[in-house]
Amino acid sequence: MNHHPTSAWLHTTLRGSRIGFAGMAFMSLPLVLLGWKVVADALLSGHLPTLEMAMVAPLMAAFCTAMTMALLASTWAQMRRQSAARLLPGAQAVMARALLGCSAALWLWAGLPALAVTAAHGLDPASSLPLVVALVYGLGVPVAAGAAGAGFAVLPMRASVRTAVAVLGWLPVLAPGVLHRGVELPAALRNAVLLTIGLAGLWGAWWAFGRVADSLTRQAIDREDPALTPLWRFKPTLRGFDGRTPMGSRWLASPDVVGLRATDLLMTAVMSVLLIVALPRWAGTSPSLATTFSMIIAGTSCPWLVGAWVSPRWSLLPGGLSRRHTVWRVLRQCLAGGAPRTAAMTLVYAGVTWTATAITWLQWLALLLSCVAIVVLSACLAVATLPWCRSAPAQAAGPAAALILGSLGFMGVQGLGAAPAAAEQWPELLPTAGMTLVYVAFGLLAVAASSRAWARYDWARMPAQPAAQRHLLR
Amino acid sequence: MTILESAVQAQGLNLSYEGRSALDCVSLQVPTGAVVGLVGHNGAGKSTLLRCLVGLTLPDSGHSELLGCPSAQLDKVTRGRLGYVSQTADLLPWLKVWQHIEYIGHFYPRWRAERAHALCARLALRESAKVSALSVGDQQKLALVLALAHDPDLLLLDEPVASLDPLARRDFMRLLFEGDSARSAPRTVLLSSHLLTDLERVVSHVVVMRAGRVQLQGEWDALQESNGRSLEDLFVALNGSPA
Repeated sequence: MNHHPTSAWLHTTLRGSRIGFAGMAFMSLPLVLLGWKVVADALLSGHLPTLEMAMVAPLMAAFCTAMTMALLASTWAQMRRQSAARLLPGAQAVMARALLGCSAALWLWAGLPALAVTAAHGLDPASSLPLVVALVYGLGVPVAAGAAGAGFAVLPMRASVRTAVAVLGWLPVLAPGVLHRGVELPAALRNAVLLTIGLAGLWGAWWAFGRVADSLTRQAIDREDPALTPLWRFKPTLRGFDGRTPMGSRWLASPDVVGLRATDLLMTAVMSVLLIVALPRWAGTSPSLATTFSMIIAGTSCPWLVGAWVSPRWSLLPGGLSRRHTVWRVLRQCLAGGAPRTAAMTLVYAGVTWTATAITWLQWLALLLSCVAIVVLSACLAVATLPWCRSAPAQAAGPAAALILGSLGFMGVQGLGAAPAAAEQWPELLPTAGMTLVYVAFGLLAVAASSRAWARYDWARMPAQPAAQRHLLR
Repeated sequence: MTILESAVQAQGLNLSYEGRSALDCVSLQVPTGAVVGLVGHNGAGKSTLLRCLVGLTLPDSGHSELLGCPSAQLDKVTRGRLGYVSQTADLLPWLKVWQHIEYIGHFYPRWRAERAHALCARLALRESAKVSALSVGDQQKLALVLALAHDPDLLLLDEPVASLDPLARRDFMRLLFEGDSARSAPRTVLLSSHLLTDLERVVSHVVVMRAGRVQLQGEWDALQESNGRSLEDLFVALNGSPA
């Protein structure tokens, strides 16, 4: 235990989200390493990063910092719910210092490599990108995204604004394709645009971060926006379930499997338009288009990533929970509840992919298969790991890791099949089908292996997911 | 340090949630050194009033002060003289009891670690236990230890004894009046509770709330003298049913 209040605050705050931050660091590690490798190449062997790389690096860093800052802000929001802590002498100053230090560390982790890449390009005398523009752009974009991510998790805003921010958050993912094969701008105009983006980003970050810091360190925090992230709306008390809930589903509260909502439809529509614009430019630039999109599709449509939750009280009700075959019932309910939503979003995205690119029906089938495999695997692992995960972040980590590792597995298989794919399409589909079978079998085996743990599980120890709590408290 | 006449002052506090009035023009004056019992039905506005007084909730209108400092902007010195226990213990579940005590202690200039440990021993609280593994009653005890260990001049307690067993309750009531004998000002206590028989043994003043309003306030001795009834009888007479 550290004796300095600021570091003690940092320690106690971050301690509750170790898994989340480790996951974020794991996910952003390839980007960070790539950035430093480019810089090292420039320094050691004189291979300067290309202009595309210099422009894309801050955007990718922005994506990482936005995610990590959202997590940090959510963690902080949980921490500030401690009314006793908010009344401590000097707490506001300590919290502000700790928040600033922690944010700076996260920005440096993801943002500094991007800044170094753009600066390396700007340092080249032959480059059309001046150093000042490179620095302002390379610093401004990740910083602004970080502040926006934190603001998204903390600040009250209308549902429409929230949805718009969520949709715009995907832009960095699509930007590489647009920039790589986008319209060439005159150098002066391009530099002016980049400088404007960088300056606007720095100003926006200063403004947004000020509001976030003020919101997180304020003495009074009531009057919460009902649309805010549910993390701090977590309440330890339960009021039971709605009487209209069908008996068969009373014991399972995983509200986000309930179907397609208006916001999902809006998100799907906007994403489809973006994909139609970006895909023709992106095709060929990604090492594995199908894998990338299966990851996006599975990531956006896997409702059980929020986890399942069983109320201990429900096990006492007539017709309620039965311990025999519980795990299979939970899995069935997860898949059945989430199927319409997942299928709708997957079909729309896959349809858009087919329309916007010139992939064959076999490739399209492989794309769908990889989506199915990842969706089933992540659902199985979410259910199977539940009895062993004693915290909400740990519960989310299981399926998230499955998602990442599953996608990487597909990437590897399709990479192996890439050479023969030019002459014959079957090798691309066959490994995918094989991997799908392996994934589904592995997922089902994991569920079967957990059935004993499920049957013996002490329901009272199951951490309730915030989303489930929100559903129950509605 | 000058001793203020009133440790707590509130003038015309109004607060409404979704059209429902939680506080309706509440005015309150708590003399320094008083032990005030705040009683009322569930949902009468006791917790909301206490949260407004410590500045955790901002009222729609009205003004309140603690130890001469505006509630919404408590300064460092005032916070150091304040002890607050909310209805839910609001602890950091991932720490152990001793870690929690040490952590909170870093913030208080007047923190006395030996007093905190003595309080733990007296309330039979295991310091090696993890906070998340404590029972609700033990969590409440820890919250009380954290609120008392820096020997505060003003204590605001929101149903602090609801989860305590009778022995712990008795000990806690005694603790309210213990502290540094060399203190410059007598300790002021404002506590809400539904355990009226416990309350009437210790309070010097009573405030009865109903539907967000102060229904009755005054010195308990005077009220008892004029009514000749116990606090529970008085409450039933005012409200028609027990708290």
